[in-house]
Amino acid sequence: MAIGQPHQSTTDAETKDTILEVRDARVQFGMSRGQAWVLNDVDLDIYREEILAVVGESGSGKSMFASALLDAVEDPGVLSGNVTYYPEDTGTVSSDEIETFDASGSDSVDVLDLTQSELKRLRWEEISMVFQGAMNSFNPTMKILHHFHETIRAHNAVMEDRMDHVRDLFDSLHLDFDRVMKSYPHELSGGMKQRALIALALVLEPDVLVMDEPTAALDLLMQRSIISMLRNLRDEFGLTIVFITHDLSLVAGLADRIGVMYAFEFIEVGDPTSLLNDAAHPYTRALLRSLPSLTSDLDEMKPIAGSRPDPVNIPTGCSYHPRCPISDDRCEIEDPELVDVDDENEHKAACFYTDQARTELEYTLHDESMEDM
Amino acid sequence: MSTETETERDRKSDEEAATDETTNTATDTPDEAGSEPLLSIEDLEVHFDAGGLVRKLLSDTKVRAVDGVNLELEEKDIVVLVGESGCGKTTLGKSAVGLQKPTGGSVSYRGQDIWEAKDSPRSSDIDWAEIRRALQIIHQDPSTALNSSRRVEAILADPLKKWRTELSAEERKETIYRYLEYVDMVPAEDYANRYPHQLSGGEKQRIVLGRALLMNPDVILADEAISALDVSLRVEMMELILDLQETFDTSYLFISHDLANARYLAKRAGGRIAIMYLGEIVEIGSPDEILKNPTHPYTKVLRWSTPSIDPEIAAEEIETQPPIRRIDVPDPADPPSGCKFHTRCPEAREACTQMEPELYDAEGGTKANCFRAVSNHEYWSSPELEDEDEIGDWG
Repeated sequence: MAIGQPHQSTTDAETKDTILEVRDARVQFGMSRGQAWVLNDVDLDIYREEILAVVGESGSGKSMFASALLDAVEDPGVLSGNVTYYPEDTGTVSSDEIETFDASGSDSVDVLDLTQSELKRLRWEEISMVFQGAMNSFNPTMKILHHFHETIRAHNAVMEDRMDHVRDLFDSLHLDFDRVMKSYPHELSGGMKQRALIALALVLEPDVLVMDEPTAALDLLMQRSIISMLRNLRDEFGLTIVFITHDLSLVAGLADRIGVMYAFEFIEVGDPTSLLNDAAHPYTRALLRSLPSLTSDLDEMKPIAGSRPDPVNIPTGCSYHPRCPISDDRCEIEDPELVDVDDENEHKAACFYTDQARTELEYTLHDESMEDM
Repeated sequence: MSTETETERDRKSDEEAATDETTNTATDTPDEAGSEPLLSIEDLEVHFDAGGLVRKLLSDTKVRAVDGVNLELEEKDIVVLVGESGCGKTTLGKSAVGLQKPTGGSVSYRGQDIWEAKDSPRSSDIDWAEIRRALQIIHQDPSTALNSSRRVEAILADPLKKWRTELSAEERKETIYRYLEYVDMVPAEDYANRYPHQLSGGEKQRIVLGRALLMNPDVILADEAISALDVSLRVEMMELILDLQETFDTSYLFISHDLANARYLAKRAGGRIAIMYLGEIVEIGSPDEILKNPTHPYTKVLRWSTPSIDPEIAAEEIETQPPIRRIDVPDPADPPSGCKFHTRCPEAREACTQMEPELYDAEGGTKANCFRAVSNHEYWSSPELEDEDEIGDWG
């Protein structure tokens, strides 16, 4: 169930340059009740300088996917499969440092095959990560500036260059450099801390920024503002952003591509316009029907029937079939692969009956009578 | 208590019993109880001492968590309080249900000042205990609201043992099962025997709701009661709350930071949305009025903050700047003079720094705490504020 095609081999490669390639990524946990699958043979290509939103409900495997990108799955979870990172060919700031794990001169890095010290470099210098509630990860006894200095020194980077870069980052994040740097973490609001942390994650100019619910603990206004800033950051610094969230409406305007996860795998991937306006997978359609927004038609809203799958006992065939109103015998036996639903844009869904889903399972994004808003 | 199996009839007899209880305790003032609003909040103030011993000694700074709020709740009413964290919505809610003693103003239940009922029971018409029963709360996180070492049945038996002492053990069990069915936990026997860790988040929240309803309350304060649930479960929980409102005629004071959920609840139940900022209600009205024709600039900020799911609209929205001058909330211990919102308000003029607005009837149908609601106010002739803080400085 490949999404996109392997690097450099297809039509996609001409227009879209893959920076991270995930193949057969699988995470298993041994539980007393049996083997729990929290990532189930995921294949996905992440393109350079795109904003990919990974959306799923709690327990859908979205955080596990984020951890897998950096080989950061915690014990006793076991990650298998392939994660390949393709560094940019031409001079990034840290291009000479890439040699640490790229000595052979090849243009790709097998992330799951790195030593601990190589991983440490990769995680800050190439692929960086911001976690949910991470603003609490600042050391309360150290000023913000100290955190930056410590990180820069630990990676043997040139202090002056890096701090110049931080000033640029602070500008883009609407942070007052002097005031924030001389503050202790408790003197800053949650939103300021979270923005300072995003700057810290970007201090060594990584190419990829993975963010797991980075705005979940913040107020709506700060959430929306950070979302706007992320787009600017991407444009300004040529970042690739993987944004993990449970809130589909948060990323509707931000993402270049949205991937929807259900039962530990991607069940639909596409650009926001196509995926939101005419979702192809029954789960995505049910999800969209259950989301209240400021303009949704309340009479049309409906919760998703049934309950989410147990990781120890994922349903056979299509994992959504027990909850799906249009499933049949085939769905119980055969596991559908992600296939194109529209030829021209890369909209893919893992369902045998996408045409039927699109005609029979209705949802509306907004009520016409609210048009004047 | 009847042992009939038909739930509908059981529920009715149950309600009658409850109504009897209420009227029994309130028989002294039947007329008043009829005419007074269910819950009436007047000029409510809750001020806290600012933290730190030194700060306390050096100044008499108070954090004005709630600062002069008026609100009335009718029978079977619903008001959703919306605001940023730290705006005082939880403090207001807790004061409204008698869990936080106000430092000024009053909260009355059916005309009886609830703190008077507690402090001078002899001269009060309604018992403090009766008031406590009538006003219930549901917390945000259901996992921490349930005792993890007790089964659901034991958890639900507690309020009955205290308030319905006439029930035999058998009747108590029946009542618990019946309420489990009300909150869609079927088969009830199965759920009654579970421990909280054997329930999902949504199921736990339904137990908490069922426990509150067992008291036959008149008002339930639901503090972010659906925020901890998965997005796809929120509509289900809100629908359950609305169904049970039909069944039990309960009023809700619902606290939410999410305008989309607030709209859903208030619109479905024909209720109101109240927008809070720094301890004050700055605008209140029906969901359509609040969302389509808001007058207060802060309401517009909250509306801007609520993302749209429509990809075309969302893509446009992300390019727009927030309609606000500064993104961070001022220190509630040192709120701005005049209108508290003037430091962030894009429409602020000189008048706003000196005079305090009150809730005016606005053109859009809402009540708004803003001079812009008054067409001939001197605000309109007052000079615009010098913008020392441009929007670029969001720190």
